[in-house]
Amino acid sequence: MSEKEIIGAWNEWGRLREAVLGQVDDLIDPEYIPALVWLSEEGKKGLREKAGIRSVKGFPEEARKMKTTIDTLQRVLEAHGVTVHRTGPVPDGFDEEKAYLKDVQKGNYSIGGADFFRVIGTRVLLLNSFHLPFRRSYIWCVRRLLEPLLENSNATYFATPPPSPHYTKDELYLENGDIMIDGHNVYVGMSGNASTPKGVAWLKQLLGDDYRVHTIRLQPDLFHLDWLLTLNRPGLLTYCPEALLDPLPEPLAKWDKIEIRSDEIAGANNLSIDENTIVVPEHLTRIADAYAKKGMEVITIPALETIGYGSGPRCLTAILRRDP
Amino acid sequence: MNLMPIAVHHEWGRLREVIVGIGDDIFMPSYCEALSFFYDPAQVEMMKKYGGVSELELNPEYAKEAGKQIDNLALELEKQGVVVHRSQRLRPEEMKYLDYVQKGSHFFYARDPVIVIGNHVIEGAMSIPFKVKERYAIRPILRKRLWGSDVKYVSMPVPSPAFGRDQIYLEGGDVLLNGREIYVGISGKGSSPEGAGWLQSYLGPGYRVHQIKVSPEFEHLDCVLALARPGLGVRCKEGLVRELPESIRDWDYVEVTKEEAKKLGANLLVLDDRTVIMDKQHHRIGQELEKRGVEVIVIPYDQVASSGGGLRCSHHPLVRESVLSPA
Repeated sequence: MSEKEIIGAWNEWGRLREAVLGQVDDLIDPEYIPALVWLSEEGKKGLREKAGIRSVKGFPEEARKMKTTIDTLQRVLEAHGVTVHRTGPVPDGFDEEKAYLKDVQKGNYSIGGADFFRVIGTRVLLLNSFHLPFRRSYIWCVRRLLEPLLENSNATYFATPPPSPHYTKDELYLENGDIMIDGHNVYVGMSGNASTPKGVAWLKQLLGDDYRVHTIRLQPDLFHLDWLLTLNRPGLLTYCPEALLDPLPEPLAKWDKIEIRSDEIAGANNLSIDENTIVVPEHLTRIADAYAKKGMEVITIPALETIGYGSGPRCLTAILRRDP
Repeated sequence: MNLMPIAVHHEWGRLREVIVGIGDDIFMPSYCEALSFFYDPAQVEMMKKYGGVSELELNPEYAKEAGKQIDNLALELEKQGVVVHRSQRLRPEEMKYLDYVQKGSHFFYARDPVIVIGNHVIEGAMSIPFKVKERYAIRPILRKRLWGSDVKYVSMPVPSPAFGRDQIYLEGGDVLLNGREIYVGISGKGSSPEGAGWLQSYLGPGYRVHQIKVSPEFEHLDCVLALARPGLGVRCKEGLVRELPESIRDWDYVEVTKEEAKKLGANLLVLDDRTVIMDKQHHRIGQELEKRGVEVIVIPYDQVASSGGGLRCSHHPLVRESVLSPA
């Protein structure tokens, strides 16, 4: 009998071995829908003007820079021994996928590698329970890559129930950008604009009594936890105190902290390759310096445009395998 | 009301709580190229001509009578002391879900969109585009029962809207329970081997998932096989391509013909290990069961059955009383 492939992740900093990155070619700017009421007026205006435009056509300079970001991230990871997979486009003959839920919201999100699945222990959770419908249509491109990797592996693979196309704010939404793991402690961010209490309840019943699931409530004009709080190595976290409605959960309270300001957008969205090495956007020099002062090797990449489209280094990277 | 925890281990445990489908919102399915293998030529013509049109316009007598028959099933179950939930009508956006791939709907068959095995509630993966939205008719009922319970609630990965046969599909009509032995029908029209493989991987080594090859003339395993109590079943031999798995191979079976099976003669509702509800058009099969000591309650069900599903298809058990043997 052949040996089973090992899939697994138990924290946010174990040595990264295998990851999935997305691509820019299928990125389509989203349409404004009432679920985005929390955006600034400027943000809403932008979405109304750009809805349904393929980013590589409508915004070629930004798209080019985003490609550079993801390609650079791939090179950095590979240079550190990480096996990197890239999602592909919708294949010929699968046009129905492009049309999926577009009567509800135009757009497509193909750059956020981390968005579509989450490995917790040896469970692989396919996450297509996004609050925003436009984010749900790229899932099959991810599955084409992911499922063969899971064959003959030790992983258990299942999905979140897909949300109803009838929008309700309290549907079961669970988004990877809100999930942070440290062993048997799981933290889920809740701004009201992404994951919901039903999403947290679903995760709790799934993980069972072996895990403690902590909710971290965020300011209601924010989105995902991982822009505001990340765990970078044992005992070190990065966070934006103004963004949190409550004190940090008890297991994190005594950790060493790098604080970020609310104007340092996606300032916490950095990717630990291992507990001594972290990838940080190059424009966030103050934060990069803070990691260096803590003795970490800091690798910077350009990421201004991907952050503009919602993804820093952490969001761009779906983790398949980290050392325990 | 104090409800028992969700648990279903066998096909025949005393039925305590159930979801029954509804007769509302019956719209003719439209033709879909990806499913050209599925329908016979006469059906294809109807689908091309009338796809998406309400059956209340096309065939009002059928629509009304089928609705009455399924309501009557729900009443009969309540009379038997079963807690009955009814599938819910969809909201407008849900009714439109995937209608760019295939229009149409009916919500008779609560069996198919979910699978309850033990305390696992699994949202399945349907292979027919117009049926995928049926999960939204069942889900509100399930969710009221889930939170705060010890149920494990997951979904299978949702099929690509491009459909095609090589995806992970698993439909309730293909899944029969016999404790730790789970039988999954593979006809080429419903569940796929990938779906059966997914189920085995999800349930783990405590269960054995057996694939049963079903003739492509039938959609689901429960069209050709029923397990009425330990040692007794109903089957259509012509609908089964190979021998049954060893665990049920030597059972006593009431044999049904292909013609009877196509009218859902093997598609029973098992109330407990001594009682079944049957469509009254299947008098002969009922008599055979009675000869074997089964009490048979008959109700009219031919109109619902004419849409392709019978009494098993029309209900999904949430609670049956039976004991699961240790792994």
